[in-house]
Amino acid sequence: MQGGAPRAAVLAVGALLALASPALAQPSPAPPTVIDGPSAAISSLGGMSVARDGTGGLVYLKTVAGLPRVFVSRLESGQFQAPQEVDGLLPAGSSEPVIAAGNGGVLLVAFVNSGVLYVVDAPGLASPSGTPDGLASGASSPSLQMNNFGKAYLAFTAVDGAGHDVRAAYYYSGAWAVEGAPLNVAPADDAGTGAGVPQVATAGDGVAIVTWGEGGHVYSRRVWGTAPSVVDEQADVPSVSGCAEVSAGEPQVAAGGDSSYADVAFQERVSCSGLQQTRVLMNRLQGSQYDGVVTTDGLSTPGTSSAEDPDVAMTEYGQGFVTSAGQSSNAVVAMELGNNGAPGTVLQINSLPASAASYPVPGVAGIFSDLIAWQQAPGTAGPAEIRIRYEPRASTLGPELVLSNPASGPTDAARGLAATGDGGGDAVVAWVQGTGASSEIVADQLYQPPAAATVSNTVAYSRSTEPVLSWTPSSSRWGPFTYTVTLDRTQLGQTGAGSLLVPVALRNGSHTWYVTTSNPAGLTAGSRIAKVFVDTVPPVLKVAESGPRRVGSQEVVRLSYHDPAPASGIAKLTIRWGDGTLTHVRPGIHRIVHTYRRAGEYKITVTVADRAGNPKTVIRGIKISKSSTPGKRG
Amino acid sequence: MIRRAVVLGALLALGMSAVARAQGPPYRASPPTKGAWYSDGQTGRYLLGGTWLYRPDTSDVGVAQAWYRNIAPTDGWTTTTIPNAYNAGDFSQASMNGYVGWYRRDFTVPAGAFASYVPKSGRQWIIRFESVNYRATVWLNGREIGTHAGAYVPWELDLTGLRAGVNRLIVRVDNRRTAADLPPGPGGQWWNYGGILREVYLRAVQTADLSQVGIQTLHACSKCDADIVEQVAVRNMTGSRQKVVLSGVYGGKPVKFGSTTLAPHGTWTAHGSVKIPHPSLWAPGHPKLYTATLTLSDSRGRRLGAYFTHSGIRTIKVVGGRLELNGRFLNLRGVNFHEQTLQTGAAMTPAQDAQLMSWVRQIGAGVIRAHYPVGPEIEEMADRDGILIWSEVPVYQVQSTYLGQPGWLAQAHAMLEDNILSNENHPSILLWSIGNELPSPATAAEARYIAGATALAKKLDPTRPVGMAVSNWPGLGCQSAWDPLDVIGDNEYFGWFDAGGGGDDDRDALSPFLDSVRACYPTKAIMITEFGFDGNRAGPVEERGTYAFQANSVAFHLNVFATKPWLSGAMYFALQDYVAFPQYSGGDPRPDPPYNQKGLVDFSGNEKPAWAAVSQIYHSTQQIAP
Repeated sequence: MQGGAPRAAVLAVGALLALASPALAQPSPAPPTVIDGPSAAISSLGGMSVARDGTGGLVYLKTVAGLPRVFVSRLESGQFQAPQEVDGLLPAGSSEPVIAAGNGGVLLVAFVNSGVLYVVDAPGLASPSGTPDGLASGASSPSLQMNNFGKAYLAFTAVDGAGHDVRAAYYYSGAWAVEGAPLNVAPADDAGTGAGVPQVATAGDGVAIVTWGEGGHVYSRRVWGTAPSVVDEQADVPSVSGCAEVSAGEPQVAAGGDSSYADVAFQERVSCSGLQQTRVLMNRLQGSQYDGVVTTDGLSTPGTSSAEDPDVAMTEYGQGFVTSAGQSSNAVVAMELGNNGAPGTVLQINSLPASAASYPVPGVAGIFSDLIAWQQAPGTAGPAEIRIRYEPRASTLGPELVLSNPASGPTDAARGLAATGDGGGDAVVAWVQGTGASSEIVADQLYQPPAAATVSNTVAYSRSTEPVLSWTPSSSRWGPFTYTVTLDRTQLGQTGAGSLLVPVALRNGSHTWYVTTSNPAGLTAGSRIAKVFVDTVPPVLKVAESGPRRVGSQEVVRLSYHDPAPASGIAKLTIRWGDGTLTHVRPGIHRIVHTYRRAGEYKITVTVADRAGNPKTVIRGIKISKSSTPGKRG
Repeated sequence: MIRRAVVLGALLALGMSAVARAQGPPYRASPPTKGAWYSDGQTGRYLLGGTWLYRPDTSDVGVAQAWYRNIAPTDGWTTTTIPNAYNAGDFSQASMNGYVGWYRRDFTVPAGAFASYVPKSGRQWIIRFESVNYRATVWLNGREIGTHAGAYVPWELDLTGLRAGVNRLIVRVDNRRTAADLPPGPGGQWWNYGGILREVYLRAVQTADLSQVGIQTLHACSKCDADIVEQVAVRNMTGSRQKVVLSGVYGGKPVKFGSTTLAPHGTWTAHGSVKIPHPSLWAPGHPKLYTATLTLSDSRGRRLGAYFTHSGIRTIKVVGGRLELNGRFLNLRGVNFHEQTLQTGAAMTPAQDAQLMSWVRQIGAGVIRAHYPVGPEIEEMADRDGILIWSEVPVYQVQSTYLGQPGWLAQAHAMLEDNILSNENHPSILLWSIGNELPSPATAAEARYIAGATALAKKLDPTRPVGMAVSNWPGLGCQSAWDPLDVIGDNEYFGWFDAGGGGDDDRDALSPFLDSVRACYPTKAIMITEFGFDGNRAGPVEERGTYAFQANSVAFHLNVFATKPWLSGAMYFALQDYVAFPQYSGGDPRPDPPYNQKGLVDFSGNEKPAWAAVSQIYHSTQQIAP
C-alpha cells in the first residue's frame, strides 16, 4: 500500500466495502429512558461516553446527605444499568466528573474532590468500579478521552505556585501515569483556568492533543504516552477580517484515528473601531502546524452578532462538525468537516427560532457517522426540548428529531447535554430534564436497524413434530432483541433467546420458517428463509443373509431399505457383525460381505436411519462353524 | 521461452513529406556495440546503445502521419540515449496519465558477427527489449515487425528485413495504461515513466538460437549430491532442416544433451542433467556461483552459438510454516525499492543499479522486493552478493471486476510465465509472487486467480515457493482464498496507513495482530512484505512524517518482528524516496507530492536518521539460521 490523499482514500477497496455495507440509515429513537430521578438531588450531567462496541456509560452529580456525589450508569448490551456511586468513600463533595469508555466495558471516571483529582477505573464489564485513586492535588477542570485501543488521556489544571499549569496523565493497560512536565507554553503563566480550561482528544493512534487557554491565547501540544511534545502550537490569530484579537478561549479539540489532524475550535474576541465581537473559529492542526483559522459560526466581521459554545467532534476519518450557538439568536450553527478534519460548509442546524441558549453539542456515532444535539427553547410555545440531527455520512444531514418527552417538563441543557454513539451508527443523547424535585437524568438511544439473526442455509430435519428452531442471534451492538418466529406464514411466537420450541405439532414434511429480529426502537430485520423437515416415520428395512457360514468364508448380507414418504431420506446405515466389527454402509449399497475369523454364534445388527434420525433395526443370528459343515442361520 | 511479439508485417508505402520542416539534429547510423550490460545469456549479443532519436507524440498523431516511415530526415526528433524515460522530470498529471513517444535508431549491421561457415541464409538477427513501458510497436525500415504490451519483462522479435547499409528501427511507445493493464492505470501508485526503460540488444544467431535455458538445482540435504537438470529450447531460425549438437558444462562437469535434426523453423526442447557431488551451496554470506555453459554446434562440430550463465545450488522450501534455505530457517530483513531516480526516472544505468544495490548491502538487507520484476543487472548483483529477491509480477491492486475476465487472466498468466522463464536461473530468486494487495476480503474471482496463478508458477518452476503480498488488518479474518499460497506477504502499516476502519491505527495492536495472522496460517511461511513511514522533515517524534517519527517507528516495528520467531522475514518500504503520483500524500500530514518519502535515503542519497536504526537492527539480526 502506498496511499494517497485524503486519508480515507487510502483504505483498501475491500475495507471500504466491508465498512460501508450495510449502509447506515437515519437511526430511529426508542422512548427516552430515565436513568435517575425524578429527584431534587439530581445536580448535573458530567458526561457520557460509548465505545465502538456499544459499551459505555454516563456520569452525573447527585446530592447525597448534602454532598454532591458521582454516579455512574453503565451501558451494557444496549441498556443503561442502575447507577452506582463511585466516590462514596471520600469525605467531601465531588465536582467536575468526566467519563471515558473503552471496548469491552472499560470505563474510566475522573472527578475532583477536595482539590484532588481522582480516577476510578472499571477495566471491564465483569469488573466492578474500583475505588478512587488520587492522581493529582490542587487539580481542577479534568477532560478525559479514551481511544479504540484502550488508551486514554486526562488533561487537567493543577496549582503551580501562584498560578496554574496544564497537566496531563496517560492511561494504558490499567495503569495511570502523570506526564512529567506541564504542557503550558510558559511555566510562569496562569494557564488552563477561566476560559482556558484544557480539553483533550485521544486519537486512534494513541497520541493525544491537548488544548488550553493561556494568557488570552489558545495553545495545543501533543502528548505521546508519558512524553509531551517538545513543540506547542498557537491556534488563535492576531486578527479576524481585519479586526484585532482581544482574547481567545473556550478551546475544544477533536481527532480521529490519525493524530496528525486535529481540529481546535475556540472563541476569539475581536475589536474593530471599538466594536467588539466574539467569533467561533476553527484551526486545523496538520502535523505541528496550524492551517490557519476558518470561521465556523456563519457570522460576519465586523458585526454586532456574536457566537459562543464552540465544540467539535470528529469520526475515525476526520468527518464531523464544529458547532456553535448564536449569542443572541440562539441559532445552532455547524461547520461540516471533511476528510482529515478539513473545513467544509457552514450550516444552520435548527429550523425554529429559540428563546434561550441552545447548548449545541456534536457527537460521533460510527466510523463515518455523527450527530448534533441541542436544546430548542420555544419560549411560551412550550417547554424546552432536546433535538438532534444525524448524519450517516458526510453531507447527508438528516431531519430534526425531538427526543425529549414534553410530559417530563422542560429540558435543562445548562445542567448537561451529551451526544455520542457506538461504532455501528447507533447514537445516544443524554440530558437533564425537569426542575427541582422533578429533575431527571434522561438518555435516549437511537438505533440503526438490527442485523438479522442468522439461520442455517441447509435443511434441518426433525423426528419430532415439535422441533426446536434455532438461529445465531443478531450481531448488532444494542439490544435487547426480540426474535419473532414465523413458520409456514404463521407467527409462532417470540423470544429473546436463540431458539424456540415449536408449540404445536407439525405434520410430516417440509416447512419454511424465518425469524424477525426487533430492537427497542421497533426496527426489524428478517432472516433468510430456512427449512425444517419433519419426519416421524422410520425407514423400512429387510435383511437377508447367505453364505457358507464358515470361518474365513465370505458371508453376504443383502439389504433392502427405503424411507417411506414423506421421506427425509436415508442418511445412515450400519452393520454390527457381532464380532466387534462395525461397517458403515454408504446409502445406496445393498450387498455387503463379511468374513468371520472365529467360530461362534453372532448377532448381525443392521440399523438404518433417515435424516431426521428415525432408526429401524433388524437383527439376524448366525452361527459360524470351523468345519466344512455350514453353520445354522438364525 | 521469451514471449515473442506478434509480427503484423504490413509493408507500408514510403515517401517524403512534401511539407518543409525545421531541420532536425544531425544523425548518422552506427553499429551496435558488442557485449551486454549483464553477463548471463547468449553469445552474439550487441548492445544497441549509442545515440537514439526521440519524438514526443502527445496528440497521438504519429501513426496517422506515418512517423514510422523509413526516411532519413530528423525533423521533429531530438537525440537521446537508451534506456530512456521520456517523461522523466515531468511530474504533471498529463505525464502521469501517459502519452505516446517515438524512438528511432539508425544502425548498421556490425561486421564479423557471423562465422564464415554460416551461410548467408542462416545469418539471422534478433532484437531484444529488456523492458518497454507499456505498449510498443516496432518498425524496421518502414515495415512493422511486431508489437508488445507490458513492462518489466524482456521480449524479442526476429529482425527480418535487415539491409546492408543503414537500417532504421522505429519504436512507438504508449504508456497510457488502462485499469485492465499490469499494473493497472491510468496513473498508478508509482510514476508512470514511459519509454524504453531498459537496454536493447541485437543478437546474431547462426542458423539456430538457444532461445530459452532453464537450470534447476535439486538436492535433498545440505550434504547430498546435487542434481542439475537443464532444459534448453533450440530454435531453428532457417527454413531448412539442420542437424545440431548441444553440449554443456556445469561446474566443470559435462552435461550431455545429444543431437537432433531441427525441422524448418522448428524448436527442439533438449534435456540434460549432471550430478554435482558435495556441492558448495549458494546462500547469503556464501553466494557460491557455478558456471554453466551450453554450446550449440552443427553436424560438423562447428560452433553455432553458446549460452553462458551463473547458477547457484540451493533449495528453498516452506517447512513447518517457515521458509528454509538449504535446510536453514530464514529470518530475513530487507527493503523494497523502485527502480528510478529523480533525474532519469525508471531508466536506470548499470551504475545507478549498482548504487541501489550498494545501499542494499550497506544496510544489511538480505532480501529485496519491487512491485515488478527487477532488471537483470540487479538480479546478477543479487546472485553475486547473496541477496534474495521476492520476485513479483505487477498484478497490483487490480479491481475485482478484472480478476475473473479471461482476457485479463491470460495477460496476468503470461506476465507471470515471462517472469519465471526469464529469471528462473538466478539463485537469488526466493519465490514467485503472483501479486500485491488484491481486494480484501478476497472475492471468488480472486480466489480463482490465486489458485490458477499458483498452479502455473509451480508447474513452470516446482523448485520455488509461491507467494503473494496481501492487504490484511485486524478483523479481516482468515482468508481461504490464500490457501494455495506457500508464503503470505503481509503489508502492514500499523500506526501509519489506515485499514479496516481504524483497526491498525495504534501500533501497539501490531503484535497481537501478527499472532492472529499466524493462527490463521500456521503452515504457511509469513513475511512482512511492507512496512514504512514517511520521513521528510525535522520535528518532534510523535509527529508523523518527521525523521524522528520514522526512526522511532521502524525500530518499534522491527522490535515487534523480533518477537515472532516464526516470521520468515520483513522488508521495509522503501529503501529510497521515489516519485509516486501527483496527488500523493502517503499518510504524511506534511507531504511533498508527488514524492513518496518513506525512503531510508533521500533522492540525493543522503541517509535519514531511520537508516541507522534499520541498519543496526538488520546487521544484528541473524537472517539465516546456522
